Amino acid sequence: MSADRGTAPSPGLRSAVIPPEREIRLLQDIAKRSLVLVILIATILAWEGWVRFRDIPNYLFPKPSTVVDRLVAKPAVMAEAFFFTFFESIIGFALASVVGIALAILIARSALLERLLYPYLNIIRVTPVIAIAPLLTIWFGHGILPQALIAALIAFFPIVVTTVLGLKSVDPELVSLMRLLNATEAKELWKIRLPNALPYIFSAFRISAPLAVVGALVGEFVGGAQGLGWILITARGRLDTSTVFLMVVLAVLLGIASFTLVVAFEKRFVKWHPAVVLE
Amino acid sequence: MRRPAVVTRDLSIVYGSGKEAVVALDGFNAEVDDNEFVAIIGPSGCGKSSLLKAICDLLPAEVVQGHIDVQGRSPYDARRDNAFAFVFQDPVLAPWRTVIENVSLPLEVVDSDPADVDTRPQELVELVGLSGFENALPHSLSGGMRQRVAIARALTLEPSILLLDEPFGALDELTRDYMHDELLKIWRTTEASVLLITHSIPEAVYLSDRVLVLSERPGRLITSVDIPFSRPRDPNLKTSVEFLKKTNEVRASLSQEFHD
Repeated sequence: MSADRGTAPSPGLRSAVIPPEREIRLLQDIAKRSLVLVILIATILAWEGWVRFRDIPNYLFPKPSTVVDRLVAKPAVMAEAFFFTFFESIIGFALASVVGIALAILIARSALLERLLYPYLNIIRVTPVIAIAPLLTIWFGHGILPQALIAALIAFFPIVVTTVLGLKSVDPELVSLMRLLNATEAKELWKIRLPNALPYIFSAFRISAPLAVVGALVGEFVGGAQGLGWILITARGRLDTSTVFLMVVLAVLLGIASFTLVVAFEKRFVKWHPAVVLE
Repeated sequence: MRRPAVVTRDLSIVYGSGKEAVVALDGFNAEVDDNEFVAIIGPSGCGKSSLLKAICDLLPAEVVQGHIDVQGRSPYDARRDNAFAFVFQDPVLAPWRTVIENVSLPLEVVDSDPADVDTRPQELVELVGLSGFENALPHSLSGGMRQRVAIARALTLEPSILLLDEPFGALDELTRDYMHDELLKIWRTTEASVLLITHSIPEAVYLSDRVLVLSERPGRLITSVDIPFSRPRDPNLKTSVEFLKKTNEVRASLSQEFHD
């Protein structure tokens, strides 16, 4: 942190010293972040106190301390489940990205294909994954594949639609220039359209990555044999509500982790975009 | 033998058909000599931009009637030979590419000699006075600097015909004046013929060898005004009496159109 740069002025001088703009902003930033943390801690403490005071049984509403106990009791099992679900959602997300971007490239270059495929894409979008999940379990068993497929299905639509938009929204004058250069379609795609679509693709990723986590969890509910969703479903069967709570917290952390990863990649690859530059 | 760079015969550009047809350009006849700098001036909507696009084969064939000849070829063949470069009013740079990468883009597209890829963009960046900004991204440059990148990129493949569609239209007056001299300096290093569209009479007179004055839509050629000033042109020319007389001559032929 650069907040403590330089020597602190003596108390008498302090009022006369105006800190530079950047340091004020940094301090404000730290203050805001601490406030978020303070609210979180206060909520957890209030929750703990309230449950203890009213003596609510654990299976109805567990204390935060019991939830933490569940994690501390079996950290390796919980970590394994966490990374297993993470792995499933990454496989599903990767599958959705590859197929989604490839399909978007085809749709963006052919109006006919766009008209033919969009109705089916919309059907995929409105089909509740929870309804397809049992089918996928019947076909593909209880391994990683059905969960990854469900994650892919749910993450797929935003990627296709947004990538098509990015590929098409190239400045027409830039397309004219490529025409004057006799660029092949592949060159135009690679040099102009895909780079132009990159910020769009990342904004779809911001939506799709956490959705893929949801898809993996749904898959585990229905037919999993491992992972956070599977532990959650089995714990519910035992009325172990503390473990259910723990799974919810871990799933939230997983969603945040996937989103944060996308944003980190975005900052790395789309440095030039005004939206990224401003952040 | 001197061969004209561009010849148009009875060139008309008509968008749409039947009752909704819009005639952008009507029976346009003109010649641009090799290494000549020709400015085209006329009211908005008189088909100036369409004319440039027709010459470099950017318009669909069905809207173009009449004949265009580019160095003895059709516009299509000339385009296949990379004869043209175009500079728009907006620089239309690729925002994800640095200055030098934008200037190299044409070389990457045409699969050129690796030796050219190594040296040519750097030379051009220096030519347009952007040394030190090679690795800057477009969003960090001023409007004038971006347009200089666009001009450098247009010169990358050494085009024989440079088409400029109001390239300085979005710049402030001081930057414009500066860019005029830059453009003339850069043009002297090339063999290119130039067709410049502009709304500024002084700009047309200062830069060109000849000014073509077009009428309101449908665009017709009213007159061609020769600009006899010697080259290289001195910025002081802009304040001279002869210069004022020439701009008045062009202005008179433009306003004559409105009073007839």
